[in-house]
Amino acid sequence: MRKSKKYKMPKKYPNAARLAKEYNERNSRKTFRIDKKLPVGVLWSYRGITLSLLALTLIFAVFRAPIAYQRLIRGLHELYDSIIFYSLMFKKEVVYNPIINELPDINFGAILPFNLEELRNILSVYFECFFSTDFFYSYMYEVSERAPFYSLGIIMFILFLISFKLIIDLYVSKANGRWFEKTRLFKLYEKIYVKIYFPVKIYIQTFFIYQRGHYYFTILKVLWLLNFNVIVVPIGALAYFFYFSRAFDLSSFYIQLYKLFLDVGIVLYLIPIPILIFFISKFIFRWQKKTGGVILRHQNALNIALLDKLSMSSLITAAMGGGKTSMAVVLALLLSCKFRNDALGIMYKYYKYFYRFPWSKFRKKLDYAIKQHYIYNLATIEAYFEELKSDFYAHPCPQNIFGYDIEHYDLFYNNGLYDVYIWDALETYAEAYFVYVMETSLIAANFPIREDYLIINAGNMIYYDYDFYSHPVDPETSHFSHILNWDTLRMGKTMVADSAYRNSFEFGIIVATEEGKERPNALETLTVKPTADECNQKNDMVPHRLKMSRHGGTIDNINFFAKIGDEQRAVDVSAPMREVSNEVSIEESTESRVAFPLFVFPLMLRDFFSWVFRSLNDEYDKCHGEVGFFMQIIRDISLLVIRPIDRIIEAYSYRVLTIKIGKCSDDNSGYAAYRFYLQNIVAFKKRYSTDTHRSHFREFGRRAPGGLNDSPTFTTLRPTNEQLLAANSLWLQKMIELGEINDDTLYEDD
Amino acid sequence: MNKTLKYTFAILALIFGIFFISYSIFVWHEVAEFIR
Repeated sequence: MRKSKKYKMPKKYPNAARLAKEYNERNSRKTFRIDKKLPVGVLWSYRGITLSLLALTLIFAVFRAPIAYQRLIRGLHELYDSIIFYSLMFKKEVVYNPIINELPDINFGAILPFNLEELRNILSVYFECFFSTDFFYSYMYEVSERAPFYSLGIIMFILFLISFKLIIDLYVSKANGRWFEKTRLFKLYEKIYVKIYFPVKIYIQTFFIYQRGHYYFTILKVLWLLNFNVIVVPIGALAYFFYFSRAFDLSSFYIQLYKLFLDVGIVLYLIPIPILIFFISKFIFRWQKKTGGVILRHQNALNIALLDKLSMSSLITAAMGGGKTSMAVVLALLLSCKFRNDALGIMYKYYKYFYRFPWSKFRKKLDYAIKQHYIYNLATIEAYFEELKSDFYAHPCPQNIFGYDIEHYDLFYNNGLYDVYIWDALETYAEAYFVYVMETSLIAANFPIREDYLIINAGNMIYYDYDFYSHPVDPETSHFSHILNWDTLRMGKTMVADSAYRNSFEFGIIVATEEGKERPNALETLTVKPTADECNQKNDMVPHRLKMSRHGGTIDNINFFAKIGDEQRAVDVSAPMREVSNEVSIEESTESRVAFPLFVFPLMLRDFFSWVFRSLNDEYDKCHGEVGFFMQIIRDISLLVIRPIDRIIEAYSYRVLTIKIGKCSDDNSGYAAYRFYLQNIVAFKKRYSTDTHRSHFREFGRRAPGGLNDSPTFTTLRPTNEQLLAANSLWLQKMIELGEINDDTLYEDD
Repeated sequence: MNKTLKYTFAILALIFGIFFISYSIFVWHEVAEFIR
């Protein structure tokens, strides 16, 4: 048995143990423990708070909420009884009356204003009464009786508006020359903020972090749910489910409804109204956030579906600021996600073919070969396998095929089309694995694009989390695109003479913004000679290379190569480059929309507060230099409302682009229109910078002796000759030159 | 949709919502009163 020394790897993987430990720590509750970082006094005060919270819970349970526990015991009893009733389904001879249909013998007089009989009667006539005109008229009468009381609110609002105007006129619009003085009231306010509000805020915030690390806070939360009688409702529903599954007894519904009313009544009776409002608004907000997220993810899925409509190479065209580069970036991010998923799919496919093969060992060997740089592209994988295969053919034994038991398990698998040979499967798996496991970005672009997929590595197989919505912007999890080296795409002359990278691009996503500047059209390259010594657009053969690129980037018949370019007009790009691409032209774009249900109400609130804030603040900043208490209060309150709503607008905004996909040609036939969703959270979460070439312009600007502010302005509507000359304009210069020539010829004639 | 139109609809929806809830409570209250 001959074993290649080159690929021998260590038997222990210290790295794997460390990664596994880190993974477990990350997923454990202990990670959140901040006890050791807290000062001793604060820690003990937190423990004191915990104990008093527990005491409060028990006091509440004993003195206020015994009724909830009575209901809980009754609910559990009903559940038990219903399960027994259900399990006796096939023993019909046993007569069993479950207690679920009996009313609980607890005195509810204080909680509900009606009993079962009344409920039944009310419900029987309720809807009839609801649509009767008599009730409507009496309602209107009742409203008109109370109208003066409600109109007080309207009067208050009008008074507020008047006082607002008065405040602006009398106080805010009076300019004073005090510059950066703090008023006495503001000093007091600041003192209260610094000495009381800020420490208390930090203390409470830290407490909420502290409680995340301790399981007994979960118990406390459950106890409060019991105290508030919330848990009984699902228990009752479950009990009724078991009962109804056997009995199919619709007449029992009234009793259940009454019991539900009872339980909800107990909840309302036990929870104080402010806390109830807080929880309800929290639930509504959570629902809105969830639904907004669902809308965004659905749009993203539609975008992903659009990828199939695009060819390998697309050229995005739109006017300036039309969202070309944003769309290119989003497409690149989606393709990156798609490629990784495709690679994983290939791996699964071969995993299924030879599921007895020791894949984890195989992956570790590949990891080692990648780490040692034996494998660094698809070509080296082939070379790597040639050597392994020659070892195996010389000595066919399990040791030469990663420990696979070749005597008892198959080397071939019939997939319905042909026999797959294990070494072919391994090689394809390795290629897919190489694409998948490459932790750096799959994008090569001529500008930086930031990806933020998470790499979940517990020391074994790594997985990617490609969620575009939940990952914060963090330098540790940011992956920037590779610098696009055009020499890797050149078949002909390269910019670096005899570059080793020539023609070496295999797989990935090429993003070229302003493609027409790199590969201009025939008109702009009239003077460029194909026979020139240095590389240019006519002798580097990039279009030829691109036409063939798919052949280098295909694994198991799945393509891993894509090119996305953008340019204002398709005809600005050279014809061969244009013709390998599908044109994606952005026809129109909607205004920004917010994918957040019922957002119009917060938006109205925000607009009102913005109006108050802006109109006051602008006036104040114009006339006042001092820092005043009154304005600070207005700022604090209005920004407390405005800022969270603005944050939602940023996160949930999107635009719908109408795009047309077709072949780049002069006639516009054969175009099909689609929708593309450009979401803020995907496209503008520090993904790319719209001023990529800024440093270039800054360099020029630094050399100039003056800026716009230093250049002279016109003084009248008819400029003087000197002012015209200061423009350094070719046209004006020519006019003056012509004038001079004419003068000369005039003199010559004389 | 135009912003003014949107806000008008929102305010109308709000007014209708308040009417609907208060009217249903009113009817319930009246019916319960009558039955007693």
